[in-house]
Amino acid sequence: MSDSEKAIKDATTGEYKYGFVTDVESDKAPKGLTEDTIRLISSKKNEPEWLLEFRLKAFKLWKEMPLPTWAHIHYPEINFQEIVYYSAPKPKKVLNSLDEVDPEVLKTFNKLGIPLEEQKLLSGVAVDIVMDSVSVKTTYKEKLMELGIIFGSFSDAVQHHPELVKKYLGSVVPMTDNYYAALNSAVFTDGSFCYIPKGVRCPMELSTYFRINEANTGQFERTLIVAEDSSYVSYLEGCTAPQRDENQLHAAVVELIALDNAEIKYSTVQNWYPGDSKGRGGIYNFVTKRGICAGVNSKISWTQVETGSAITWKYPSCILKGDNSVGEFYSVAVTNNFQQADTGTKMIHIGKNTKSTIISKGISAGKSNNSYRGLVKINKGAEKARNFSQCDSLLLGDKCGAHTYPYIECNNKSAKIEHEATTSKIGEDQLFYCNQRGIKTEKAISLIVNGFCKNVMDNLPMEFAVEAKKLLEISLEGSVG
Amino acid sequence: MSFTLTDKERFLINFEGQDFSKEGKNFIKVRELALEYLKESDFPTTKDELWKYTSVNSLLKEGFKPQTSINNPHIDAHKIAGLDAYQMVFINGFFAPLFSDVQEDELGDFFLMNINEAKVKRGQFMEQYFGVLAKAKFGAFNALNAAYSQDGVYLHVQPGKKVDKPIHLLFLNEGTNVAVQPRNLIVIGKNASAELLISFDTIDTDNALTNVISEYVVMDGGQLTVNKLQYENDSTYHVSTDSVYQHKNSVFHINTFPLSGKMIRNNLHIQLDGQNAEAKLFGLNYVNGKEHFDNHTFVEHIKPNCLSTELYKSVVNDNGVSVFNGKIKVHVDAQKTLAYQSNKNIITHDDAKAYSKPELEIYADDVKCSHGSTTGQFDEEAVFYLRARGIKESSARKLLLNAFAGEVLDKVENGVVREFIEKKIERKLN
Repeated sequence: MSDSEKAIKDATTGEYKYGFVTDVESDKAPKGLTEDTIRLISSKKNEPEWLLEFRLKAFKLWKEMPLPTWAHIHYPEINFQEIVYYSAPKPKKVLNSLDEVDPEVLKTFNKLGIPLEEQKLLSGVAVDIVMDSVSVKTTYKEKLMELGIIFGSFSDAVQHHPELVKKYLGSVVPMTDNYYAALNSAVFTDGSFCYIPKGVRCPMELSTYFRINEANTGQFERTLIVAEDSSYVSYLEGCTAPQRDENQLHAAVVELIALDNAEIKYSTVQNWYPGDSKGRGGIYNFVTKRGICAGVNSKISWTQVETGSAITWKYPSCILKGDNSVGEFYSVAVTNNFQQADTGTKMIHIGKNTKSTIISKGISAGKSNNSYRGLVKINKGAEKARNFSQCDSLLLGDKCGAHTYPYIECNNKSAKIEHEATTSKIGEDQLFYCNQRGIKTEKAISLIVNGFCKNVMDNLPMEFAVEAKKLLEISLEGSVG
Repeated sequence: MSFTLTDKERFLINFEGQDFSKEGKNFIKVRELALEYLKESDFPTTKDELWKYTSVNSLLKEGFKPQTSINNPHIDAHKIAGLDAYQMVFINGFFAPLFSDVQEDELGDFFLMNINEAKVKRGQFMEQYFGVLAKAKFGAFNALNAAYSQDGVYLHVQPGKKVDKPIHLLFLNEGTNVAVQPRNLIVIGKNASAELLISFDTIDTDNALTNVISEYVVMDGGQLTVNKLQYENDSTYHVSTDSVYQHKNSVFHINTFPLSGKMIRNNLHIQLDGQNAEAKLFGLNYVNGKEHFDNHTFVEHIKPNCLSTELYKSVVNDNGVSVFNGKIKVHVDAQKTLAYQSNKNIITHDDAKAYSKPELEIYADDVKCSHGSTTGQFDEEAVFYLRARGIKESSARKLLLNAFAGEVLDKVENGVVREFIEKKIERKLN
C-alpha cells in the first residue's frame, strides 16, 4: 500500500469523536404523530391559538404530501410514527448565571471544545444553546437588548413578540413548500429568533449550538432572522450530535428576511454523527433554508461546512427580490464511509441588477456519494442579473461518487450566467511535488484539501473557521492536519 | 355507460390497423412488446425530470396519422446541391427506391438498403442489434416508434472497409397531419469507417410529427461521423432518439443542427463500452420565432481510458426556447476517463428563454471531468469595436454571431454540408 493510499485509508476510517450522551432527565411526548401530539406541543409551549392553527393546517397538508424522491440519496423508509416529537430537559429553576446550568450540559460543551465560559469571556459571542428542543440558556441577551436586538429562543419570541413572529413565520418557506417543511411547520419545538432593528449593526456574532441529544428524538427547529433596513447581522449555527445507532431525523426550517440595505451572513458548521464505517446509524438531515432579499441593496450570504450526517438534504437558497440585492453561497461538503449528501442552492433572481455567487466544494471519500444540486433562475424582469457558479469535486478513493446537477434557467436577455464544474482526484504530481520537498504524504493531502476548500473557508467568521478546519481534519482523520 | 378517451388514447387510435404481418416473427415480437409497453405507460409530462422544459401536450392533441408515400414527388429541390453521396430517400417514412442507391451485394464494401428489405435479407444478422440500444421501455416515444415504424435505413459497413462517399439519408414529409416514424440501424464493422448525413425536410405539410430512432453500433476501431440536420417546416414536431454503442478504439462524431421546426427534441445516448473509445458531440441550436429546441445528451463512460468532448451552443431569438441537458456518467471502473462538456447560450430577445442543465455523475476517482455553462448576450464592446471601424450595427452583430456559431460549424468537415448549413442559418438571420 502506497503512502497516499494509506493516508486515504486512515482518513476514511476515523471514528466519530463526539459520541457521548448527556444524561439530562427529559420530559418527552409519547412516540408518534397525531393531532393530539401537535396540541400537546402547542399547549406545553403555551402557544397562542393562531400558532396552533398554523401547526394543524401544516399537519393536514403534510399528510397528503408525497415523500420527495428526486434527490440522489437512498435510505429506508422513515416511520414517522416511531419518532418522539417533543422532548425537553426537565424544567429547573430559572438560571441567573452559568453556574446554575446543569453541569452535565456544561460538560457536553466542554467536550466539544467550546466551553461556554470561554465563549462568553473570550470571544464575545452570545450563545443560544438548544439542547434537544428547548433553549437552555441565552447569554449576552441583555447586552443585545440595549441595541434593540431581539435574540433568543423561538418560544420566547412567540410569547414576547408574537406580532413579529406572526408577520414573518412561513413568509419565506411556506408550509406548502415541501414535505419536510410541512412536517416542521406542524411539529417544530423550538429554535432561534433574531430581530435586528433599523440601522443597527450587530456588534457580535450570534451563535447557536444545536445538539440532538435524546435518542430517538427528531429535532425540528425553526429559525427566523429578520434584518430591518440598513442593519447587519452575522449568525453562526454549529451542530454536533452524539453517537447513536438508530437513525435520527432532523428537519429544520430556517427563514431569513433582509429588508432595504440589510445584510445577513449565515454560517453553519454541521458535524452530526455520520454513522459508523459500516454505514450504521447517523442523522438524517432534511433541512429547508431560504432567505429573501426583500429590500433594495440587501445581501444574504450562506456559508456552510457540512461534514456530518448520514444523509444531508439541504439547499440554502436566496430569493433576490430587491433591486441590486446580492446572494452568496459558499459550501464545503465532506462525505465519508456511507454518507450521502445532496446539497446545493437556489438563486432566484427577481429584482434588477441582482448578483449571485455560488462556490461549492465537494470532497468524497470511502463509499460515500456527494451531489451538488443547484438552480439559478433569472426571471423575466431581472434586468442585468449576474451569476457565477463554480462547483468542484475532489474524490479520495475509488468507491465514492461525486455528482453535479445544476439547473440554469434564463428568461432575460441582459443576464450573464456562468457555471463551471470540475471533478478530479488529488493529482499524483501534486503529491510528488510535496514529497519531493520533504512534506509527508499525509501532510501533503491535508495541504491540498485545505487549499481546495480555501475560498469557502475564507468566508467563515474567524472563530468559526478554526473549528471548521478542525472538523475537516476529523472527517478526513489521518490525512489532514 | 359513456366514457371519454384520454389524449393518449385518442392520439394512439390513429396508428392502429397497420399491417406488419409480413415481417419475421422476431421483428413482430419487438412490435408486440413495444405495444404492450405503450399501453401501460404514459407520454412524458413536464413533471418528468427529463421533460421538465418541453411539453408534449399540444402534440398529443393533434390527430396525426401515418400516411402512404405519394406518387411522383418532386424531390430535386430538396437535394443538397453539389453533394456527391449515396442517397436514401424516404417520403412520409416510406422508402422511395426511385431516388435511392441501394447496395446489397454480399461482395461489396457495405450493405445499404431500407430496413424492411434488410429484415428479409439480413434478418439473422440484424436481430442481434435491432431494438437492443433504443429499447421500447425507455419511453413512450421510443415505444411508439418500435410498434409502428414504417421503414428506415439499414447500413452495415464490412470490417476494414471504408465507404467511399458520404451517405445521405433524406427524410421528407408531405400532407396534412402526417406521422412519420423512421427507424435506422447502422453497424460499422471492425476498423471500418463511414460518414453519414441525415437530413429531415418538408416538401409541403400542414402539421406533422417525425418520431425517429437511430441505433448505431461502432465495432473495434470503427469510425463514424454523423451530421444531423433538422429543417422541417414550422408546423412539424420532431422527436428523435440516437443510441450509440461504441467498442474499443472506436470514434463516433456527431454534429447536430436543429435549424427549424415547431418543436424539436433530440435524445442522444452514447455508451463508451470499450477502452480508448472516443465520442465527439457538437450541436448548434438557432432558435427563431416560437421555436422550441431541446437537446438532451447522455454520455456513459463504462470502460476506462475513454474520451468524450461535448460542445453545444445556442442562439435564442424572439420567443424561442432553447433547452440543453447534458449528462455524463462515469461508471465505477471507468478510470482515467476524460470527459469535457460545455454549453453556451446567447439570448437576444426579452422573451427568449434558455435552460441549461449540465450534469456530472461520477463513480470513479481517477478521472478528469469538467463542464461549463454560460448564458449571456452580445459583447457590447465588441459590437462597438466593429462599429467604430465603420461596420453597420446589424452587420457587426451578424459577424459576431457567425463567430459564435463558427466554433460548432467548423466541426463539420464536409465543406458542401457546412456551406449548406451556413446558408440555412443565414436565411434565418435575415
